[in-house]
Amino acid sequence: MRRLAWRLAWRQWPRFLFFAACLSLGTGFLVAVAHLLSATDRAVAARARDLLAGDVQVSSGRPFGAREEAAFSSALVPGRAATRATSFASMLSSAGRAPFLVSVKAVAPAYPLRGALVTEPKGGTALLGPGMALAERAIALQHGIKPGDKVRLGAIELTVAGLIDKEPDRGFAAFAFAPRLMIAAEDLPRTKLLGLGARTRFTWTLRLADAEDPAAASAALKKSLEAALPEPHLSIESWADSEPTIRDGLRRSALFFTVLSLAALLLGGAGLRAGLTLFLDAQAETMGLLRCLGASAAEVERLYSALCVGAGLLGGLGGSLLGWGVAALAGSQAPRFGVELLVRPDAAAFLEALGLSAALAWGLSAARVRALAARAPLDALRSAPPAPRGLLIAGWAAAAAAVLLAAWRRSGSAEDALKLSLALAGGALVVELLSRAALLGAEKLASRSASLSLPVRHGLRRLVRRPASSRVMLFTLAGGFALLAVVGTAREGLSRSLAPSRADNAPDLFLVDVQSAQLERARALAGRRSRGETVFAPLVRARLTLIDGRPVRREGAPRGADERERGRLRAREYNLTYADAPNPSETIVAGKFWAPGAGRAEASVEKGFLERAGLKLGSRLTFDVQGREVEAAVTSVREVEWAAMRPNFFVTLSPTCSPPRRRPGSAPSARAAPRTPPPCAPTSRALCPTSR
Amino acid sequence: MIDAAALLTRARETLNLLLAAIGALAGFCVVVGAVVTAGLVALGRDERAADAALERALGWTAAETARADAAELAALGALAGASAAAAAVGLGWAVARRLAVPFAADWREVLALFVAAAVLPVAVGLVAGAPARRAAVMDALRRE
Repeated sequence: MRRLAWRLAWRQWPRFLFFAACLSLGTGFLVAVAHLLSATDRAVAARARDLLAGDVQVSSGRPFGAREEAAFSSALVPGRAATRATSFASMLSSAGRAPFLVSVKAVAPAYPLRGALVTEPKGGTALLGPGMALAERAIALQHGIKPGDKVRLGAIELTVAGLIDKEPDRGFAAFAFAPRLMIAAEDLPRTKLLGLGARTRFTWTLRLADAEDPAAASAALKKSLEAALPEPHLSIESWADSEPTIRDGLRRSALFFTVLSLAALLLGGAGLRAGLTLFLDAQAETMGLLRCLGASAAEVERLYSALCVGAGLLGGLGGSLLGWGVAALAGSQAPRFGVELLVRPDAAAFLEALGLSAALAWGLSAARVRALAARAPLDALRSAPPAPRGLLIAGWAAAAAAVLLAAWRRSGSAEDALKLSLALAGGALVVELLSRAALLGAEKLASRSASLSLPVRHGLRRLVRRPASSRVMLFTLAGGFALLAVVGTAREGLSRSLAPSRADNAPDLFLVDVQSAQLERARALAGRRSRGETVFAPLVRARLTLIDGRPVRREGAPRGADERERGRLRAREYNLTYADAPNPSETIVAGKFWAPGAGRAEASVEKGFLERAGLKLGSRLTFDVQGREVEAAVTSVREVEWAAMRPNFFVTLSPTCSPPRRRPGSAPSARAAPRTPPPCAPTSRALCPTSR
Repeated sequence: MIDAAALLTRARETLNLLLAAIGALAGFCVVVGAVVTAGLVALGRDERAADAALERALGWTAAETARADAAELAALGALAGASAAAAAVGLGWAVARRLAVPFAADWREVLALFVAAAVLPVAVGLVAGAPARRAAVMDALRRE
């Protein structure tokens, strides 16, 4: 029987090539996504400790107090090392150049505790000293500043000692809105930039002793620090925390590609099923002959099942090779985006592709094979009996389970996989129904259009006369073109929402952190330069500490991606604002926005944020606003048109929650969105005072 | 100071790159459709050869037989284009809603897709069905 199987496959090789091609593209792209995800996982894991520039880090928007210092001292046992850094955004200026935004980081000589700061000339933080600075290479490229140049930061003048090529804790893909300027910690007070209301991040980073187990010791230290420092304004991370965050983000980004890969697999699967059915029906006589020659029904069934599964395996093999090639090509382009990816052959992805293809080929043909194989030899020329219902259901279930498994492995979440599969099934159903309707229409047209020439009428009738294969061809072609059109409409929609014409009445420049004392001057300056109304909105940094009286942190390990996302959203720092009315880009979709001058402490929350953070209308939110507790009830939900580029916020509080002006450390700064006259770039730069 | 226009430009560039990659992958779904069409036309070779033989025996020229095939495939393409357009409106609207962007279509692109949908099956089907049309008439009739 084995030899017979080989002979049959060899004689029918063009058909088997077609069956394999149906599956190769879909499985190929799934394999490519798997390879790229695992290459990224490896890159993240290799750099996990570098991504924090240490093993455990405590950070805060406020300077550390005595309680924190005591906890740091007790954690710093012999063999361990610690360092501090202070980060904030500010303007950098140099002679003859317009000032521009930089992300300043003041570091001690011990920085970084893990990874390396790569500079030109070599030396890293050793190049820093009083009056010296290191600038990210982007500053040199964009603003022409080179080593030896003088720059001004706040109240001091600095000399650029070198250029930063790689900073370990800058982020995985090294993408940032403002380039880095690194200075020595001892120069920080002289800049006079850390005044009232400045948005500053203080970090304390610790490196474990060489003899300690990195995973266990960092987890234990994190736990003890969390117990000693329960204040919600403190963020405590170990190096292991950076991995799931980046991986979750990548998996979500990869979902688009997974959807399209599965769609290609679905279309190919439809073609495979139709092809296998035609092939098996054409083999009915051979099956009957084999039965006459003494082969049992089980043997014939095994022979043809093996042929179908073999076709699937061939498709899986082709897909594996294709996927690996695509992933290697994409990996070779990754350095252009600041990411180093080493794509290695992934045995698990290959096995998955082979398993998925085999399951699909078996699932889509098993019932037909049994129906034909089980016929009495002399019935071979009669029409095929109906397929056994049980095996038909089992076959479809196996194919669906294989697809669901592939979706789950790519998305990393059962919920996402189920949603994705249901969306795909829904889309397939829409296309299938439309294809059937189109065929019915063609049938009516063929019978009523006597004016058409005979060959054309005959061609139309032929389409209707072979409904099974016509439907499959129609389904795959319509599905493919519909996907292409959907991607086109999504691209068009995204382009329009980001197009400059749409933002014609929107600001093209934002001033952030305008201090209260600077407000009138900024307003006057913006009024002179702006071609429209200048909008100023108060802005304070805050952290959500309690929801309905319950702390938002320290609730144990998250159970899934959604819960992790919810935890991250709740625990992050926000920019809050106070307002008497929603701005024109906001629409109230639930509840009621407070009346101007209302005395109650109320909050209006953006709809997407409300859903993702697990809040609801009526939730009581308690914020830590630079050390002051502010509690407000959610009384309205807003939809925000973010593309309007107004100063929009996730959370708006009623003015009664506003901190008193004279209270130290809590004065709100302002965010202004002036509309500058074209040409905007040179004018806008002249508009901007050094932010603090 | 944040230059929103520069940020938007950078965001748009990144987005365009991502959408180009996704668009390329969607293009491969069309390739799957073409492969399936060509494969099924080729798999139905015996039936098509019998049809062609009968048509030729009844006095049709080779060009008329090819025209009947082309009409069948063009109708298939037009129906596929119409079904794809209808499905794309529904699915595109749902995707636009999910992404919170306006539902918008570049009508020149839609027209180009429709033309491609009409032409592609004709091209691949005629090539894949050529052996059936070329099969010897008597052989095909004898097999019947």
